Amino acid sequence: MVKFQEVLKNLNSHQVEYIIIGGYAAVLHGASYATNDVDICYHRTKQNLESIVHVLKPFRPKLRTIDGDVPFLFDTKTLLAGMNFTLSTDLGDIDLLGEVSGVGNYQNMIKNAEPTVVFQEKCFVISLLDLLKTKKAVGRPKDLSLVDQIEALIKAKEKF
Amino acid sequence: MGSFWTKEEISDFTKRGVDLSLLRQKLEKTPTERVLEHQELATVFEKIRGKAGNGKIPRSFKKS
Repeated sequence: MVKFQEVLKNLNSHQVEYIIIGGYAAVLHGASYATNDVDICYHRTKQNLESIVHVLKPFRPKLRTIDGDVPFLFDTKTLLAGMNFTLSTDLGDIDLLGEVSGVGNYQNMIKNAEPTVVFQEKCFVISLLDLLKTKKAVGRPKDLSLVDQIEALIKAKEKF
Repeated sequence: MGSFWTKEEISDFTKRGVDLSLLRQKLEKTPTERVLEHQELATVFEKIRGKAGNGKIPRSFKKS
């Protein structure tokens, strides 16, 4: 299981610009959902990529693949050359996403993201409306199973 | 549940299989409490998966 608190603490320790998306975002908003990894949308500036590498490299990130280990050098150049990375680390599974189906990149999402405090760590969580767009756009059965819950949460939060 | 959803919404979401009682309980908690609750469940799932080996569903959970 991913060490969620540790992930946030480490990212915040170096002012990484990120937004929590995916299953953990759904949980933070109040959905009932089981997930083993943390999905993060990151800002693709050179400085931010350097911070991500600095923070995560000690936790030995590897690509999660079906066929086992593949050679992978976790550095700024690799992050610049790619976009979305599904990583296995000593902190657990972390997905680093530069672009997300339905909503695009960090700049698109941060406008609506909700500032949240969890385990005394400040972070941004994708808005419910954007989360709904991503789940509908991805369209896997496990994503679609969340759609009804997200719509119910949107209706509930409209009243407060 | 009235303060969170209208009667029409309760009827609609219930038909769609959403457990509004559970959602209401979650909404009354802090984000930290929600994550802690999720992690407790995730630990249980992980144990079940571990017992089955390689993420397979335990035989006792399968229909015969």
